[in-house]
Amino acid sequence: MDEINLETFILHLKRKVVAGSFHVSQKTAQVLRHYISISKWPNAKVIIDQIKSIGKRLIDAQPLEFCIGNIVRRVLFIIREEYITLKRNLPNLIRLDSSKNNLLTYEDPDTIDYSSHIPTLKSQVIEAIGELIEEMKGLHKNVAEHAIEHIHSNEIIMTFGCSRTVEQFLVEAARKRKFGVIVVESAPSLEGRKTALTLSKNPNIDVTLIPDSAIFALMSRVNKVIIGTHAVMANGGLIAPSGTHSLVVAAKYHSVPIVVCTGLYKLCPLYAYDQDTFNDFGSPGEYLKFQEAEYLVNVHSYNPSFDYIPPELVSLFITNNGGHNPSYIYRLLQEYYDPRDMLEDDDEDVNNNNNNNNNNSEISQK
Amino acid sequence: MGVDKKKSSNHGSSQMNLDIKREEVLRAIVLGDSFDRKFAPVTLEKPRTLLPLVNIPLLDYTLEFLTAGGIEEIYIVCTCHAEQIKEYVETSRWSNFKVFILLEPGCNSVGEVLRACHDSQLFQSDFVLISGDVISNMDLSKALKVHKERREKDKNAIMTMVFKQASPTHRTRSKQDDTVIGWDQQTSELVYYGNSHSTNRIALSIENIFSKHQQVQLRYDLIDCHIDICSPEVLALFHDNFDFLDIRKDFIPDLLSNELLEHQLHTYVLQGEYAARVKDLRTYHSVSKDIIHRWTFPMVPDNNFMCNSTYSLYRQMIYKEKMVKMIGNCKLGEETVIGKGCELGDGSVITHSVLGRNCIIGRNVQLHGCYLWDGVVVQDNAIVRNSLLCDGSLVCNGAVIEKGSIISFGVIIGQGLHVEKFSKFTLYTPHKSLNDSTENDDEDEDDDESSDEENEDNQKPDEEKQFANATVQCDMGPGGKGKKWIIKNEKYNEIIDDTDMESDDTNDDLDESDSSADDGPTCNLKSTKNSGGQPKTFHDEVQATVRRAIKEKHSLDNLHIEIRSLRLAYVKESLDCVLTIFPVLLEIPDIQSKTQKEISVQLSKNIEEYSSVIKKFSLNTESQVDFIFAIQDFCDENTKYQPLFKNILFGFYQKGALVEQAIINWSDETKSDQTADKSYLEKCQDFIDWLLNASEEEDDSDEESEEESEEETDESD
Repeated sequence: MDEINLETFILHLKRKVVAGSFHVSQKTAQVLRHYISISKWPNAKVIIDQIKSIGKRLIDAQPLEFCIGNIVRRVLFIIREEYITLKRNLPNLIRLDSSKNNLLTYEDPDTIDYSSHIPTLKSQVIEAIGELIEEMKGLHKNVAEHAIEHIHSNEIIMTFGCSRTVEQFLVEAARKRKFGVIVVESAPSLEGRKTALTLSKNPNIDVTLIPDSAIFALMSRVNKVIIGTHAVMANGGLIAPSGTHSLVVAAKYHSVPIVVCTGLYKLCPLYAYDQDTFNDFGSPGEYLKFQEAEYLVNVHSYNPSFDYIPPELVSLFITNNGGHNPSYIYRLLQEYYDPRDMLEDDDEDVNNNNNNNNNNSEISQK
Repeated sequence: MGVDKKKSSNHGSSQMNLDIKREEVLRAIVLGDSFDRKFAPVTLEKPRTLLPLVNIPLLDYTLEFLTAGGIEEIYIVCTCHAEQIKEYVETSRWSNFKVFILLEPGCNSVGEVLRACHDSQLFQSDFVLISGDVISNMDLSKALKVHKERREKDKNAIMTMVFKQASPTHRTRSKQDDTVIGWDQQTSELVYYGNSHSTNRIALSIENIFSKHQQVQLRYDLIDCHIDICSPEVLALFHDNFDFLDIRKDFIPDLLSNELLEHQLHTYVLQGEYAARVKDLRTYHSVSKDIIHRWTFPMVPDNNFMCNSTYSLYRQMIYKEKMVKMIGNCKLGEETVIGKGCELGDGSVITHSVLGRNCIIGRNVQLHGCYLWDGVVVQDNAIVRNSLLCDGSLVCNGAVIEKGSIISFGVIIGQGLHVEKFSKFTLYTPHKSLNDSTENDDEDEDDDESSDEENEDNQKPDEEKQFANATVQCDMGPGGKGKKWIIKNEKYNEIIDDTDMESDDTNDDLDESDSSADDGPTCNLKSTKNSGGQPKTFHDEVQATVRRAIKEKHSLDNLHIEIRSLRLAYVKESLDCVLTIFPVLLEIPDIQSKTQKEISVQLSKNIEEYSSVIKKFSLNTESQVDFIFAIQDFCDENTKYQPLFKNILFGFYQKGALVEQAIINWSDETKSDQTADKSYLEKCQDFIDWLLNASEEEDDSDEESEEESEEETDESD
């Protein structure tokens, strides 16, 4: 039963039945909680390994939904944390391997032994994951709480695409203040239109919808750019819907501050270094007619889903636990994830070992 | 599981799926067999549905499409190679789904499969009928909803056919198809379905169509996706009409022309979504390109939807799995897919190609536009262009394979061999395993040892014979292994680029089908009176009648009466009859072996004997002019008759089958027409001059035979 549950989730991910960072991470957390609760495991070590292997499969199913990996890492982190606190509370266990734990101030992460059996661990972990799910549910609200500090009366805000976090952020600010929002259409998905429609229902927001090509022309009138993102990388860079990069560069040119609203579950311990590393390409059908494509036999048409935005273009992150500078992201990573749970890296290591001789030639190809 | 369900119901599309589920289980019939031989000789060893398309079996695309569209139970009906399909489904991830295999080894048409499905009583509600080689990313639940809503209003709407909008010359639109669709734009009801290269006109009946529909749109830019949403009545109709063999060829025309049953067919035209069927080698090529260009998103290699691959996409549409060895300075060009475990040698250049798993490519190899399936080995310095290499085939050092070739399973192309374009090689021996492996005729699986004579008793003896002699031994180069497959593929069924194809067409004989495709459809909106019925059958039947009459020496009067009754039966005009019978009357046995003189003697004898039949149809002058043009065409087609054109004309004139006015009119028309071929006119110029003089004389004195002058007066009216 459990296997099917996991399998269907993987299939849904592949078919994009479950899509959008928020839904995916909610569901990932639920699937993992379910797995932990129904499977039998003697100690933390076993369950950590199991979650790791499941996590790898989930990530492989949709490698560009970074939040899957993030949630898996969070869950692993929770298991480790709960284990250590519970273990400390059991004095006799500490005494068993006291030689290592004499220095309570510093624990070498590699030497911690997770193999002790702690009966209460399971319930504690499940409870903690439940808290994580609750935290995610309230996350849009938490982010929106900071809105008053950032949006002032009669300001003009520019935003891009369709992000729930940004929408709630603006709506929250509009409860007290009146301001204008310029929404960029964001072709070819044209999701910006949805945002414009929802915001226009609010009497305190003056909405203007513009095509992507008008970004630069209108930027000089804008006080702040507020955008959502698909993921936040370890260096503070963004993986955001395609088109965002041009917006951000235009804002930089006009020295308009760029504020990114995001939940911390989008924080991802991976490094992106160019536009290609983490990108997905959709069907050209979104902007090209199939019946015309015959004339384009020798033309390649790309429909990239994401842009990579380097950290120096971002002014501020507003997360569910407050505002942060891009340079501070590395610190948040340490708070939220355990360095031993780098799932993607593991994967690549395996690949590298198998592939040792040929890697050089492959790289030269690229 | 509980959590899972709750979550998925939050999502829009799955919400709807649940709604449908509550009503009834959604089922689909997948045709595991195509009942044609478009992929021969490859399909002799492996069913078409399991052929890999961009390294994933075709069947997987179809099943993925169905399961993603909310179909809960899938029935794959297999006739031949059933064991292979069964084994594949059981070992792949489809074993976790409700995918059932129905073995119907006795069926050799879609009709029989559907009758078997009807007998199984499984399909009591709406179901999807799909061919096992369809690739689509359309939202099936939406089409199902439309079908259901329509059916609730009108029980007679029994089937919805899915079409994809393309353009008439689109690469994915199979050139073997010539689909013309007529539909009512308001109700999207199908009113006309034509798919034939042989006619370049269509006929819409006023009574049947325009009395019911105010507006009818004719479309020549649609791809028939072979995805049909059917109601159980469809199966029942197939059950009642046991002579239906195919949906497109028999069922739809019958339903459209049948006025007694008020059943209606509907169309569902896709705009943004993708759907296409791999019908032949050409569409195999173009659908591969569509996948590589991501039109089928999310069914693209780097989505790894079968959960057993590790593709990722690089710039220039290069898809590469993990663990590909690229040694030294080998070059991967655009639009290339490379499977796991491949080894590419130093200095090799690979562009526009798909490589399966574990292919080994030597040094300085050139692959352009090739489809290599799993485990293909291409040794040093070989060149392969636009060809298909099946599992386990081997191309030795320095061999060159030209475009359009098919190298079937396990064939070895010897060292340095130059393979000409469009050659096909196979290891398969049709003689021995004819019965269990050919696609259509696996009726008698039990008696493997059945000899050729027995096979001739089968339903399609011609084809069987053809297959027995399909391969010949030929030079495969040093170390080569394989036999040449000599059955030529049908037109437009070669696996090559468009540009190549065009240059090839000019070399090939340009037949009518080609020109009709270029001109687009000629719409003939006359009522069915003139051109309705089945032109082909009429033609065949009349010719057969004439042949029989000549052979059995019937009296010519009787022959005339017989043909006239046929004319009335098929609602034809006298001219049609004449045009049909005269080639038979002029037929000379063993014409190739005879000298020109013998032919001319025989011909005048034939005319002497039979022209009275033609005369009996008493054509008016206009029709006679048409008749002369037809004779001219006939001579064009049969070069032996060309020098005798004048004799034919003169013979018919003498016998009174042609009047002089017609001949004169014909010569005038030919003269005035700039583009017409004047060679025939020159040939009989003296005859015409003589005629002109004669008619002048005739005007002076009315001394000509009564018959002719009578007719002349008729014409002047």
